[in-house]
Amino acid sequence: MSVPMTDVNHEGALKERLYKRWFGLAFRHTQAEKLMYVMFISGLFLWEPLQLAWSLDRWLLLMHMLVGASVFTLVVGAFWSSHRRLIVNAKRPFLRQTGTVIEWLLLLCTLSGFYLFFFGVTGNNLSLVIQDVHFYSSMVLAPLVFRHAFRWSVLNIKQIVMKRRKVKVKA
Amino acid sequence: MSVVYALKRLVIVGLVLLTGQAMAFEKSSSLIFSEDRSQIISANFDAGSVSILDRASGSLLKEARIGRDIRRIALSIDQDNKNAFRILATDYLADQLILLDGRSLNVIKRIDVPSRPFGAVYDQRNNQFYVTSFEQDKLLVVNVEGKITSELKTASTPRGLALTKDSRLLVTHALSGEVSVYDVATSEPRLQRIIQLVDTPFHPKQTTPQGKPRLLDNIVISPDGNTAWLPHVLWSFGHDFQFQSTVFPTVSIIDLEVGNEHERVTARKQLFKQINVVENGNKTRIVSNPHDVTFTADGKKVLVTLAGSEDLMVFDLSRGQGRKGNKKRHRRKKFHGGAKVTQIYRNVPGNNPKGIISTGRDVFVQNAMTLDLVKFDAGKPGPFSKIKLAEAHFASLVAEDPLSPQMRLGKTLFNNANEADYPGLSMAGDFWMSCNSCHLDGFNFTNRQLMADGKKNRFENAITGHVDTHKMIAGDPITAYLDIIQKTQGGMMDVALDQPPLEAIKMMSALNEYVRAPENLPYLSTWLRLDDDQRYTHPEEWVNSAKCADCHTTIYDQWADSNHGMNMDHPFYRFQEDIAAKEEGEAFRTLCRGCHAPQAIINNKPEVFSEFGDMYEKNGHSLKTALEQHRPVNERGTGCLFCHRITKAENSGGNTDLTVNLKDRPAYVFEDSANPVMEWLADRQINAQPKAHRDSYSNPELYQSSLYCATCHNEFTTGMGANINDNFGEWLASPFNRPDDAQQHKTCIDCHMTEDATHFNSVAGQSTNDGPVKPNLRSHHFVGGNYYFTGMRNSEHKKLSIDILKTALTLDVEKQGRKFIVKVTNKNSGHHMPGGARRQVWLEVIATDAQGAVVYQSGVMNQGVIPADARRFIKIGVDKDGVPVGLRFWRYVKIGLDTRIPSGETRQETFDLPEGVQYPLTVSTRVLYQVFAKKLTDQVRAAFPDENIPEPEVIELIRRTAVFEAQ
Repeated sequence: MSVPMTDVNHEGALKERLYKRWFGLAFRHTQAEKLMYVMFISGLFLWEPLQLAWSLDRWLLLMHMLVGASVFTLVVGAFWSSHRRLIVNAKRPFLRQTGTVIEWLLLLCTLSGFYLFFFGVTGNNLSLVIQDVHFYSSMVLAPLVFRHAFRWSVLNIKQIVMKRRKVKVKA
Repeated sequence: MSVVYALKRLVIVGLVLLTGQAMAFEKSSSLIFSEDRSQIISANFDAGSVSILDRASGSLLKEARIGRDIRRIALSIDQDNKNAFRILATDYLADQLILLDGRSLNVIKRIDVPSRPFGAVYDQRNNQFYVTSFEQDKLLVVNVEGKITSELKTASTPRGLALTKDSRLLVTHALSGEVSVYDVATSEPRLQRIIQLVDTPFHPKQTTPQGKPRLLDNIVISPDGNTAWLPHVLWSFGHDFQFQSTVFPTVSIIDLEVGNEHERVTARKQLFKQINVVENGNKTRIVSNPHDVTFTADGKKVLVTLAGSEDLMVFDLSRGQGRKGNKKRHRRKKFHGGAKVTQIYRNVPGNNPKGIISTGRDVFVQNAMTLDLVKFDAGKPGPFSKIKLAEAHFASLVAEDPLSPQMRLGKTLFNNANEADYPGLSMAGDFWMSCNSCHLDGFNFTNRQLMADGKKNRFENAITGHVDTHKMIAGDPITAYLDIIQKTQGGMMDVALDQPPLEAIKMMSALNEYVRAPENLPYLSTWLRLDDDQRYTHPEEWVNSAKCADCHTTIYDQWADSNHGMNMDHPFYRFQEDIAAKEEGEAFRTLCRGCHAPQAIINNKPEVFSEFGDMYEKNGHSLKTALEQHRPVNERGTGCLFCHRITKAENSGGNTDLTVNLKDRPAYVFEDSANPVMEWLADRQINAQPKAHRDSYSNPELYQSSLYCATCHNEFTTGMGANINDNFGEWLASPFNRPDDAQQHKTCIDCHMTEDATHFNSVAGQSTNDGPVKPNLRSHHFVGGNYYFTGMRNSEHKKLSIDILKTALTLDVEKQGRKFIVKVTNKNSGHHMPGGARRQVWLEVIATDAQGAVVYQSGVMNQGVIPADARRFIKIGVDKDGVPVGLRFWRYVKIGLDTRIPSGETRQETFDLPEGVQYPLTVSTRVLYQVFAKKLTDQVRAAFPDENIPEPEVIELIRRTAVFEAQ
């Protein structure tokens, strides 16, 4: 079966565009970083000792679960798949090492999150361990991501100030 | 003693002077002056507000609606800034303390406290408040920031508070007639002593004051600090329950000698003695419900509000002879009770005078029902001046009464004993008593004290309350109230019960509105309450118990086939409920449904049951079907949500005296959705973070308390207060109630909620699917003596039931000559045996001679019927003529027979064996048990011919066979 040349060209162009897009995801993906912090903060507020009002807590829980199982997985998953090669090939040992740890933590946190979503904390030992894994992995993950991406982080105050100045100068 | 006393006083006065704080006596009050006395601050009771009024003009300067029922307020002063002060208010019905800014009345903090906070007083030395928790028997210490710093268990029912200058805190105990004295020299109160006010002894003449001191709401210290005055009533149930012999107004005097605080018994102010103002016609002026006290500025007069008869009573101390007077100057042979009443200001304007304060010649009386202030002029100093009305309506305490006119009228009538208020239709005869004289604050836990104090020899009279209530109140409340008012309070005497005037009907309808208030008896016959502003819920507001089975499968399965499950409206129940409705009126069904079908009451489904009730239905099949069809149901029995959302067990005697709360259940997003996807999502949320779910359905402290079960397993007759079933009281008196001995102590659930119904050991299990294995899973079989219904559905249940029955008793036999003695001991049951009213337990004795021929028998059933002469363990209620009331058990007046075996006790039965029989003699003795008698079963069969009602099996509980060789 022959394929029209125009289609082949079109398919190739699409692939290329997609590759470029995917390739571009690896660099300073602010949405992915922001999402990670949102998940971390919302998860933190669900922590029992903080005793958030139930009227807020219930919505926060739903948001944390839904976002975690959908947008977070897609966005951060795409970013991570693209960013991996940077981690592996990074010249600076610090970025390579923290990147690898982040990879594992991300995996742990996400998988445990899915377990909690579908099976929950029914009180058996496995569920309790997984709950702890989710909690402690996130506690390490968020600050580590911040440190790892410090120079480009959305939370880097210096960056934010400079960005604002640039906007002012342009105006 | 007097030297020591004087020295103690000197030291204390010295200490007070050293601290540099000019401290006044403090008392818990609903009406107080501001620090500079230019304003009056009022706790506005059921208006739920606190007001500030200008003392000179009476104008309402500020009012803040802060809660439901503000009873007392206390004022704290900031020593550094005299203009800054705070008010602590007790919200009696909301179980809260509210800390307010004294100027703006803005709420600074709300503090949840143990139930029924009442008294509040400020201790300037320690800069803290003291608060009484009336229902939970607690004294709370609260700092000025609104934090509870200490919680002390007290004697029962603490209510009024007063603080002496030398740091002694006096606490009155409203229903036990006690006064506790605490040392509050340091910030942690220490109990010094409890003074028991004496009972005024029984007197054969009914109108002579007698009885137990009750309703001690307030205590006030005299200006010289030597005595405390305590207005209260005496409850006397020794005579017939009626107005001239039941409640007597009294003021007791406590001697406050340091270290020797005691009641001055001979100084007690009683009706016809110290309270004896004679009216025209040589008749003593009767007053009722003394409530609060104040002293005039010169300390010579004591003014007492009378909340029932609506009077103001004046004692003139200058005319009385105190015990500490100069004995040499006036020698008297006999002490005559000290100061006497010199004036009774009859008919204080407004309704229900409670709080009272005075300064200079101004006296202010606070009306709790009309929510206004009356101003009196105390007159010039001197024994002959009289108190005069200065301004009838000096001030309004509230801008608007939040209660509806109907509810306000009802509540006013409940508290009213003033004959002048409703000429010809007065609530009380001759001002003697109001409903509130006994039913303190309405219908609540104080009921238990009424039943305890009213208890007599139950074989002569089991009634503790109203005699022969008309239609058990619920069947015809209007006539019933009129009847009660006539018989008990001596009011409405000219009203014909069969044709009451319209005005009387209106009044009684209003009274009924108050009786049915959320905090009282919203469903009238039952004491069941819904913690909500609305009286009824919709079935959709409930969670179908079958839904719980998704995650709690084991527990659901146990419950569904148990006697607490969906089948509690079985034909036997329906038969009995129909009799009740026929006899007393349809509305009387609620008495039964409170426990058997509480959802039907709360969902306002009063009609005769026509669905469910299938005794044979397994595993709550109908519930599951309804759940699949997304159809709301009025569950029978006590379902998951009902039991697990009970927030309070009240201990008022049973009859479902509990509160269920649906509205405050923390629901997850989409939890109540009928959409399967949303439901699935809600379940995921519950599983992901189950704490809120677990906490909202679990109250371990309540479940461990036997009181929880007592709410249904104790019953009393409505209005008449005769105890029908007292499993809780039986348990309290049993050897299993040993809170100090963990090995011996067993509560209801220790025996009835374990799968080991033989040894009552803990059995491990999972209450949640994939949940943790709990070492002591509380089984929801609710194992009990009714093997009949559970056996129709589940053989495991039946086995457990029979197992627990067989552990209850031990049996010993012996023979002395021809006497055959049987001893049956209730060894393992925490209540009487049998525990239920319909259970048949009896002895069967069969003696056979050497040839095997039966020579003697007793208790052998004949065609399913237990012979009349069998030795039975049974309680029989009878009417006033001694005729058994049978199925009309709520109409019993006294106990005709009670041969049940109390826990830990032995009953001995003796049988005369025949003479001239051929030995050896073999005697077989059995204790037999049948859940329902054949007669009852036949009656139910006749009532429900379409139902398949089997003959209840006879269970052999225990057997002994003894062979006697010779006579």
